[in-house]
Amino acid sequence: MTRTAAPAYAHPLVADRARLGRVTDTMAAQIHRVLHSSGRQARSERVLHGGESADDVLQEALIALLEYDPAKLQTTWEALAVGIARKKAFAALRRATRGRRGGPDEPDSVTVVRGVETADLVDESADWDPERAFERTQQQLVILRLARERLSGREQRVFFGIHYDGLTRAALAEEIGLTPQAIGQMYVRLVKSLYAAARLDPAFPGGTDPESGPGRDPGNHPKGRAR
Amino acid sequence: MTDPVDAVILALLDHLDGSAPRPTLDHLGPGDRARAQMLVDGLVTARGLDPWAARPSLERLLADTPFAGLVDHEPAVMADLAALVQALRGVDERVWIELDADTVVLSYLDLRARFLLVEAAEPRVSGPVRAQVRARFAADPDTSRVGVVAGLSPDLTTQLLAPDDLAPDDRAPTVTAPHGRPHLGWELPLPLPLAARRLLEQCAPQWPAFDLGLVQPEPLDLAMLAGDIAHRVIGREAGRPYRGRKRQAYLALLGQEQAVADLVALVGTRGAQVDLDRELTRIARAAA
Repeated sequence: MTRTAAPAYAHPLVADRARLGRVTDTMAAQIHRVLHSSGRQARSERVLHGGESADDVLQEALIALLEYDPAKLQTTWEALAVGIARKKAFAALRRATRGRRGGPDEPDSVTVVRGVETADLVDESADWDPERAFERTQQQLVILRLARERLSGREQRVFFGIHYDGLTRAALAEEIGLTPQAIGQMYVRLVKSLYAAARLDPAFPGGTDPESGPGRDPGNHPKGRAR
Repeated sequence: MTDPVDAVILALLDHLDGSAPRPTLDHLGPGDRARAQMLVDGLVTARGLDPWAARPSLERLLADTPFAGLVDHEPAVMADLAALVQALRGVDERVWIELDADTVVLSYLDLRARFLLVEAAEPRVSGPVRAQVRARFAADPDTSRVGVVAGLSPDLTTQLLAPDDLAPDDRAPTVTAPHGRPHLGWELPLPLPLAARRLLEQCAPQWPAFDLGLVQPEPLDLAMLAGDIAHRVIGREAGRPYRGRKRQAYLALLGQEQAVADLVALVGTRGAQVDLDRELTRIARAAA
């Protein structure tokens, strides 16, 4: 990555605040995912060992993105942003977990360490595609907005617990007073209804769903955007 | 279950819970497979996101960097009451959130907080805001806290106030302290969901289920039971670190347990005509 003085060139993202906002939202989501996808720790405790937070990583990634020389860009800014965010998040994990790994049977005191081993699995890194990752993350940001707008408190507890926090249906069932089967059925109903609503949302990028016609917007697709 | 995609989602949850292999989509037709693939990708992508997190503004992220000031300032957008409802809904499923005129009310058992939206970037309690807060407390004496929510702040920064936090008019400063910071002793301004969570941690009453302790069926002495429950609840609540009028009220109710028990027994009497407002006022006056 080439680092240059910021004001030396007109950065296209600096000139387009809305686009920069979208890119930054996606970077933030990508960083949270790498850091916390398998931690299952309370959100209030989401600080890495050493005190670094997801916001610190986001700032580092955003500055790296804006320092990138546009003349050397080989892909879209969106894809580059997701790649930088992911790289910075893994670097932060490594800094936080350096020298802290225990033996195979020894639980580690840093919950987030587990993300190092499993994040690659959920990413399926071998075919990880930053443009697809950007699109999927954008989709999830639309789903999240709709869930916040439309679901009741109880529905949010179930949907957020499974979809974002990785809680088991059994744990939620015990908390809410339903059976695990009922929790699973509620989640299925909620996720399908949210996707149905998302397909009608102009901010929802296309993807592979053949039913996504009404929601498809090439302007939000990184491949459909000018570099 | 008629939609084959439903089974795939449930199988994926089993996989993510560690109790099953990752489901395949081979048995699905092209349309269902594409739909299932999007849901699977979405679930995997979403793990780890904090649904209530708000990322820092671009200005904050770029402060003290060579890019500070280069990005156009985001035009501040005034939040509405619906945004407050949304933000509060996910705080705790035990609470009840509702609109009441120009405030959003958070209720849990006898805890009631009102959230008042002000058109400002910070929740400064200026003279006019102080008057609005005082009016809310006066209009509804059951209100334990009023939250002043800065509607122009991106994270809905909220200053929570108890009745005792408001000085009498003759001592009220126009602005609370230098740099807009409230004086010591007030809660720190926090993003709305965090402020609400802190409120619940500090003020939510804890009324665990009452164990009747009946070993075998026997006639229930309602008056004795009500007296016992009143004694326990009032004693426990009086011992909690409430501040202000709520603390005074519970302390004053110590010793009035039998009056509460008598009222319960009276209400339980067949055919009794009880004016509850009048009876409760009588107990309150006796306590005062």
